[in-house]
Amino acid sequence: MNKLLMVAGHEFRRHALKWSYILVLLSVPLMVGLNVGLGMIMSSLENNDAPVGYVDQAGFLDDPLQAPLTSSKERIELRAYASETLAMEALEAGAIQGYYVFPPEYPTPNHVELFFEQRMGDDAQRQFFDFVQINLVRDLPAAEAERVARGTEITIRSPDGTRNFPSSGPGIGNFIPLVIALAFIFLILISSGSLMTGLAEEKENRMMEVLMTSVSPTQMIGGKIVAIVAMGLLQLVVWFGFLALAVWIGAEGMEVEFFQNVELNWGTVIQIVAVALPSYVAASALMFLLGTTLAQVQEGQSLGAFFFIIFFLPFYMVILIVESPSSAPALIMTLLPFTSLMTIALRSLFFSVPLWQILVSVVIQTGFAVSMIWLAGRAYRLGMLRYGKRLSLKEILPRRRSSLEEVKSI
Amino acid sequence: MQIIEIDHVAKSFGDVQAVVDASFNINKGEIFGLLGPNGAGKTTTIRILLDLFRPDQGRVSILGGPMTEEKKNRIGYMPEERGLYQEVTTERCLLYLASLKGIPAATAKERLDTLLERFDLADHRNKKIKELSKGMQQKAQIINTVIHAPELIIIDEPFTSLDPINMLLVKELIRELREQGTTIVMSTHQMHQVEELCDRIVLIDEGRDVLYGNLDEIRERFSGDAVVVQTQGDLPKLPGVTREATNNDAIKLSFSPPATPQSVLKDLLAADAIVERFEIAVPTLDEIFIRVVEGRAR
Repeated sequence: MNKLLMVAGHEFRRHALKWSYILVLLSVPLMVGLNVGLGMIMSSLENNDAPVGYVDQAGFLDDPLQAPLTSSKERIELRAYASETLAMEALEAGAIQGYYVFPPEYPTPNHVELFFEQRMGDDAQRQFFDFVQINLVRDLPAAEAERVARGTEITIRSPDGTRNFPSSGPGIGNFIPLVIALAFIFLILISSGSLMTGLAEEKENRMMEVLMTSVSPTQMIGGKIVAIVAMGLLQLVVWFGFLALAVWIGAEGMEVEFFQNVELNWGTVIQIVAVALPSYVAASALMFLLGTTLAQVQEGQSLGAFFFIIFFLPFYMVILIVESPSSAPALIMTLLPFTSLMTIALRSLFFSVPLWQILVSVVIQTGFAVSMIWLAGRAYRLGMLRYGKRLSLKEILPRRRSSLEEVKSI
Repeated sequence: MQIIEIDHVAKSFGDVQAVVDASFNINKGEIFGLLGPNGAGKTTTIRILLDLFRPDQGRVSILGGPMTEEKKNRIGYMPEERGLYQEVTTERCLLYLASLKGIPAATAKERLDTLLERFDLADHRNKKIKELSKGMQQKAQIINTVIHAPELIIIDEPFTSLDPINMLLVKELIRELREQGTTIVMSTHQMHQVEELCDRIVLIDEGRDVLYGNLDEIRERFSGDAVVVQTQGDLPKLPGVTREATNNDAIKLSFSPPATPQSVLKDLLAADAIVERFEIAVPTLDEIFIRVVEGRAR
């Protein structure tokens, strides 16, 4: 087998079998599962399928119409009682979960009394509301009745017309680009962090010298990056697989409107991925560079936290970005390495980021990634045998010919 | 046949001249000692040899030419700065490193089983490297160096951290490998081990090769200024003798020119001493090492 793949396989097993990686891998599914489970429990607690009674003293429900079912799967039986006494007896007998009393002068005033022993289910109240509403407007022409029954419907649209939000608010489809950006950032932080500590560990454990007499630096760097990418892809597949499952459960099983009718803006998704990929490579190369230059594993872990802050810098400025997505700070952060990914994701939520900005950002991120790989290669060659000593940036940068030629080139 | 050729190699790091001018050859199938005081440039020379460092000047040939990726599979190296993956089990770590030397997994497993048994590590194969004692880690390193049956082995201080039993085990292994035709380059400070094992040596001091050749010839070259004498009765006072030291039942007489072994013997007989034993003293490698290094320092 090719040595690069051997290194990749070893690195993958070394990091992917660690508890920390498994925990991170399962953290999203666990979190999603927990939320879905809690949601289902809450939903079942809030619903009650027992019949609902009513006493219509106003007589407008003598020959009632059935309201069409909207979000509920089960139709709840609505029972008419001739008197409050009969309704009360049914309630006390547990035949109904509660009953409404419409006064003779209803709907003027439109006060209704509700009697129950335990709080009535949300679904029952919703179905009874629809039932009353359809019967109140039954004398109107059908189209008007249906429109009145539908209630208000407001669509919020961005000035350029590229973003629409219904009155119920943005759906899951609007958030997918942000979720992708966040997933990539977590991926970068987690996987490249383990790359950095792994390298520092090899240096601290005096492994470098043994490894370098078996494989070339190219095979070593390549193998490690392949392993990191494989770990990242596995994480993405697992995370998005569970996310898709959760959306499906939310939409089909729990009938949560937020998860229904997922409409993805593929253009934005492609833009995010186009910026995310070079950012991922650049971050991995940078972590590689740091891992080679650092003297101890602990230093690598401290630096990981620092990068976390940089990646999430746009998040701290979210108000500015959302309120003025075309402002100069938003534009600068769109173009700068590391901040670009989150900034573009946040701007894309409410605004269509101009294509030229995306293209310039991709070019900058790619150029930065290539520079980082180049520097990482230099640092690896210079720093691999510097045990217990930190390699300075001054030494890595091509200033002094003598120091550059200390070690053989790849 | 020469397996390594180092020709006027020099290497500096900034202002520090680690290797000034070193030249020596290593023959196929021999045990070669690379000696020198601390900071003499031994490790740098080894790293140049292995192509980890590029020399500023000079030429290096290993296994018949410049180092290639393919040649790495034919070399076993145990550096002075030792290390293995601490969080990985001994077996997994050694099998992985063996796989990087290009040997099939089944062969690596078979050889590893044999070597673990031989080095008394079989019961520790599933322990993480960090759970092994220093001596055990050293043995694991030695296994890593030889598992792929290399043609050339370069070992830096192979006996550090080993108890006498394991030291014997390693010496046996080194001899066995030489019998199989493996070339071994050994860098060590333990002169008695060099005397016991090496065929030829090079002594590097301040980045230069200051002593190089066959071990017996070198010792002979440094002999001639001392004799071991055993007489009946007291030893008479002899001209030119600068130092007398007890050497088991005999006395070692060191002398300086114009005195020679012949003149000392003549003077002994002239003084009517009854000579029971008279032989030219051969210096130990330790003595040669000190004499060369201190002589250069003066």
